[in-house]
Amino acid sequence: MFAKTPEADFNCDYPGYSGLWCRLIMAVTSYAMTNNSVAVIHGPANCAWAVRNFCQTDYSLYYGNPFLHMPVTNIDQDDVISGGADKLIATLKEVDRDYKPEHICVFDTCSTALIGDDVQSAIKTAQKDCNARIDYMSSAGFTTPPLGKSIEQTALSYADMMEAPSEKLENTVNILGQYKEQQDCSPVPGKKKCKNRRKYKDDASELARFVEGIGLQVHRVLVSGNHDYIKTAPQAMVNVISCPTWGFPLAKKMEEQFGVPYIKQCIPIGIEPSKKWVMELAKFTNKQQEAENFIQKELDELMPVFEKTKSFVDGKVALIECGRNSQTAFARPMALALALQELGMQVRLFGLHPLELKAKAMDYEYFMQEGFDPLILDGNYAYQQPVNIVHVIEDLGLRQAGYVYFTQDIFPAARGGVFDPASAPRVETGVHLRRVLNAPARGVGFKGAKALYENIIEAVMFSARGSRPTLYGRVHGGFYENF
Amino acid sequence: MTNQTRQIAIYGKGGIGKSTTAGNLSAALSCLGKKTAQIGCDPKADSVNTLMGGDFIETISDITRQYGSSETSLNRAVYRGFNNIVCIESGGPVPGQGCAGRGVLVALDLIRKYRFFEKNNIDIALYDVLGDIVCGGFAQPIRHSYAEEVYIVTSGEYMSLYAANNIAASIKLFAQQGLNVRMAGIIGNLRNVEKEEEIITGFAQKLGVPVVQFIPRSELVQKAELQGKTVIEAYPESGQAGIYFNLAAKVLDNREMFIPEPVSKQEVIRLLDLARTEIC
Repeated sequence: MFAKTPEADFNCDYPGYSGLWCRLIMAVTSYAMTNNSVAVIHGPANCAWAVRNFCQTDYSLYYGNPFLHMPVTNIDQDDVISGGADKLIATLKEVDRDYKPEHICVFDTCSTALIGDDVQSAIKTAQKDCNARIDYMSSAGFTTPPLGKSIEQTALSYADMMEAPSEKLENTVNILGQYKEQQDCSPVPGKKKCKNRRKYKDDASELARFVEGIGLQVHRVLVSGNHDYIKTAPQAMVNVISCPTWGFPLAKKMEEQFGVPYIKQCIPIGIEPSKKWVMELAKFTNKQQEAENFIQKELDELMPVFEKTKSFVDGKVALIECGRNSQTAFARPMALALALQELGMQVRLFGLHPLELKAKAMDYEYFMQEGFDPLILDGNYAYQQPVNIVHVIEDLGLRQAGYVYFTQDIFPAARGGVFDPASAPRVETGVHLRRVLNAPARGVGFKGAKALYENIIEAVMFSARGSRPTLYGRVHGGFYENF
Repeated sequence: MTNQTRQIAIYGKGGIGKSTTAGNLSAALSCLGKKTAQIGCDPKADSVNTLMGGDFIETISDITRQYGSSETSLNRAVYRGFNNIVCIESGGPVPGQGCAGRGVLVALDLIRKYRFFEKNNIDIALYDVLGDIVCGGFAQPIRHSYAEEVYIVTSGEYMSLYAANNIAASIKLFAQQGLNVRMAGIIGNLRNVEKEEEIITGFAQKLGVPVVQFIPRSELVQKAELQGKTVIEAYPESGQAGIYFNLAAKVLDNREMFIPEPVSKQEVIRLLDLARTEIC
């Protein structure tokens, strides 16, 4: 499927494809993970509106980071004709004076990129009169329509904000492709932090637990923090990767630019992937003994739940939905597939837009190197349209209780076929919901695996009970204690 | 647009003498009793300079940026030059910034929106368009059906013919797309290249269009320009003025329009080689 798919450019081979997540949205949303910063959008007001609207609706899958100011230069027709550089310089000075941020990042848009506004020179001019450091992130939507490519390009920009390290900090690790603020931010400055408001550990805290569990220290979780936090990232001894789409490009560039080595890793879900993630880091840092002790302790806790889960789903088909529109997830469903294979399930991925598969070639390469090549349903399912799970079940000739449906929670409102959850086991994949504050999101690692197993048991039990679950029962039922 | 106003676009390679030709053509047309407007479609904004006594006028771009886009703004950008010719410059950004093509489009849209030619009973509107069709913006006078009649100014030099050929290719494309734009002919602005008239004639034949007029090189043109005037104004009795009057008369009479058949780059070179061989 990968070989047959054309390169990830915007072309007429996929006339139905449209990237809902414009590169501008992707870039600004990632920058929203930073603190004490202001995003200056160099373009028409409507572009800024689109980003703001995205950030405040269901589509944003709100990351739980603090509100980001995003003033706009409000480029109009006259500016398109005459160039908008003067307006950008004036805006930057105004933003520096009024917002007093530590860092400003300029994001260009299609209109200013098409006329070739010299953003770098404008920044250089404005910088003389500004206290905040100003950086630029190329973000014109037309430059990389596929989401995966947008992410790659955006990730690279963060290396440009970094500085060569004056010293290396022993036993320190950066986690790339994660967000820190989601777990410990407070939406209201000065108010109590929101730690531990989740049912499960999120990705960043679970990976940090791995790092600290073998006697190392987390230096930076990127993208997060203020400008000082980002610029000093190259002081770490090694970079580890959570999400490859975000992490690999940045890790590669940091290695080239600052000589920080990286370990090629991917989202660890399940027992073996989590063990591998920890052991690779341990080998690199010479902490094998600590890692073995850590892993053993984790497994002691996890194995009973694993075995119980396996007894529920061994031999069943795992239907893993990758996306309900063009915003296909790939790395996480693949990581999930690995975890489900451990449980003895036969994995089938579907709803994977080929263009996004190619755009996320980094994820693909990782899993291929691992020798993991699960079945992907490449039928006549319409791209960009939600694949009706009922049709998938019928097409595969699956019998009830012979499968578990792992739903895609990107755009949960997108219709993906309606069926009675009381008769079909359905588990949220947690691709994006995990980012939402207070959402019952599972993370990665051993804790994430435990949460996944619990969710699978819950789904299977619900489907077998023959009646609809109640909200009260789900929230307060003490479900796991009763079986 | 109005049926009364004939809208003509003058295209050609940069520096080939479009503005000189357009200015003298406008002047001659006005002397022949036609109410004429000349619209400069170039951010340099120097098209109507010789009609304005050497003055540079404020452009539509400058004015709309300052006062907004309105009929009042358009009227502010209208100047009266030699023989009451309406002079307008679309204007645009300083070199190296912004999008000049967009500036041309906006200016022309403004003229159309406020029905300027109809309201001012203009008989002939002449668009003097920057150099080659370098981008969509500079194709606006013909792409958006402002001008349906195109004259290409060329010399017998390779690059000039090459540019003319490209413009002809654009006209053919637009015609195929259903636009009414057609080529009226070639104006040969001679640079004293050997066998120049034969080269231009051969090129025109290949394209399937006529050569409307050859304009010989004359020092009167530069002398007039240094006075901020056209030859028509400065030396009305001269032979050079007579040539421009001839051109104006032919343009007025010309009703034949063509879809050109552009040639390949190799054919242009072959044409020049042939002329050179004959010289040898």
